[in-house]
Amino acid sequence: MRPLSCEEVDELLPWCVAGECEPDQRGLVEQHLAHCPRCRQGYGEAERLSTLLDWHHRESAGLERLRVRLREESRRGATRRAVLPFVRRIASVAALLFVAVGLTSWITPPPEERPEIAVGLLSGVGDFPAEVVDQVKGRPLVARGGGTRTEFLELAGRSPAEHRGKLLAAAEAGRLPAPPRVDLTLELRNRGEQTLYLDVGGAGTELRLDLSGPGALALPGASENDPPFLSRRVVRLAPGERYLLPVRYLIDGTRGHLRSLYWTEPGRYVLNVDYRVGVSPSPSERQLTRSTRTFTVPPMTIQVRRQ
Amino acid sequence: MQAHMSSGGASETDAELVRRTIRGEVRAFDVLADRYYRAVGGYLLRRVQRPDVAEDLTQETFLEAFRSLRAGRLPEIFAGWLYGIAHNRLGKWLRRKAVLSFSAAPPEEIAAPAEPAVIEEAEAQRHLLGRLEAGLAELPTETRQLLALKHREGKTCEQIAATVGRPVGTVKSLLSRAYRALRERLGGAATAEKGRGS
Repeated sequence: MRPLSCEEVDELLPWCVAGECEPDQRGLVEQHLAHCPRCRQGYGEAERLSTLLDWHHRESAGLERLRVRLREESRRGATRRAVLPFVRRIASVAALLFVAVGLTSWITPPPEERPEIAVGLLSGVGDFPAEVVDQVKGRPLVARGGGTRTEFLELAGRSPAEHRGKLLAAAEAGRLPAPPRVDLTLELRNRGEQTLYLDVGGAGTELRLDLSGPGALALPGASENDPPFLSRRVVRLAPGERYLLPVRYLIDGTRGHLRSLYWTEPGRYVLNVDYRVGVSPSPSERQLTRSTRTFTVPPMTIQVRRQ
Repeated sequence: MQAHMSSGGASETDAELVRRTIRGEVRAFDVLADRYYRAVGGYLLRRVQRPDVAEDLTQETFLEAFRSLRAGRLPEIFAGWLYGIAHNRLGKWLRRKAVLSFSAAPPEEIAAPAEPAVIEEAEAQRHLLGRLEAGLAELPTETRQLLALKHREGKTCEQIAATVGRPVGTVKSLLSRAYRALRERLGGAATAEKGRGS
C-alpha cells in the first residue's frame, strides 16, 4: 500500500486518537509516525486537544454536580450537628455497657471501596503459577518494588543518532532487532466476590506501552510475533486469585499491529502501561468479547545508562 | 499568586468568602468553586490525562475543602491550600492504583512537587482551557454542536451524522477543520508548521 504524506496523516490524526481509524489506515499512520518527528508531535497535540475538549464539554456539568453535592453535604452536616449531642450521650452509655459486659470480640472495619480487579506491575519475572511457567523460562525475580529501575544501553561506539538511524533502516528492511528486554509482569488480581473470566489474547486485547524520554522510539513491527499478551486463553479468576502476564520485551499493540519500543540514548524514561482485555463473570465468548476493560498501571521510571 | 477578585459576579476576596463559608454560607463556597474549578481540574487533568478521573478528583478536592472549612479550619491562603488538597487526592489515587506492595510507585515529580510548581501548573492549565474556550467561540455554531456531540456525548462520526442528518464525510470534514483551528489556537507547533508549509 502507498505510504501516506504528512498532510494525509495530519487529516487522520484526530480519528486515530478517537479510535475511529480503519485498521489499515492506522497501520499506515503508525508507519509514518515512526519516521516523522513532526507528525509524532502532531499526534501528541491531537491527543492533548481531544482530552481538553472532553474536559471542556463536561466542565459546566461537573460544576453543577459539585453544587448539588455541596448542598447535600451541607444538609448532612446540619443533621449531624443536630443529632451529635444526642449520639454522644448514647455513645457514653454504650461505652459503659461495653466495658461492663467485657466484650472482647474483634470489630471488623467496614470494607473499603475498591475496584473488582486490582492491577500492578512487577519488576522482574518468576514466581508464576503453572499455566504461565512454560512461557517465561524463568530468569529469577530481579526486584520487587521501587518505581525506578536502571537499565543499560549498548551503543557499540555509535552516537544515539546513528543508533536511531540503524533502527529505522532495520525497520524499513523488515528486520527489527529485539527491543530492550525488560522482564516486567502485569498482575491482575480479582478483589471482588465473584469469579471472573479474562479473555487473554482475545479479539479486544491491546497492550499499550507509552515510553517517554529523551530518545524514545516506537517502530511498527516486532521480532516476537506472538507475545504472551496475544496468546489466546480464557483465564478463570476465583475471588482472591491473580493472573500474571509476562511482558518480556517492550512490544505492544494489537494482533497484526505490533510495535517495538526502544530507548536510544541514556537518560530518564517513563513507562506507562495500559492493558485492555475482555472481563466478564461469564466465560461465554460473546460476553467476553463485548465487555473489554482497560487497566492502567502507575507509571514506572527507568533510568537508562550507557554500558 | 494572583488575588482573585471577581468571577461569577462576586467581588469578594478569597479570605472573605472563606470566612463566610466557615459561618455556614454555602453560596460563598459556590463562588470559590467557580473561581478555582477550572484551575484545579486542569491541573489534575494534566496529571492523569483522563477527564473522567480528573472530574472525580476535582469534586473530591472541593468537597474535602468544604468539609474542612465547615469544621472551622481557616487556611492561610485558600488557593495554595486547595491545590495542596488536590495534590494529595492525586497522590491517593495513584497509590490506590498501585495496590500491591511491589507495584511501581508513582514517579517523584508526581509524588512531591513544590507548592509553587503546582500553582503555576494549575494556572497554566487554566489559561490553556481559556484559550480553548475562546477558540471554540470563534467556530460556527454547527461545528460547535458537532464537537459537543462528539466530546460531551461520546458519539462516533457515524452516530453524529445520523443524529444531525448529514453525510459522514461532511461531519468528518467539519470536525477536521475545527480540530486544526483549535490546535493552532493552542499553539500546536506541528499544526502551525504545516499551515505555513501549505
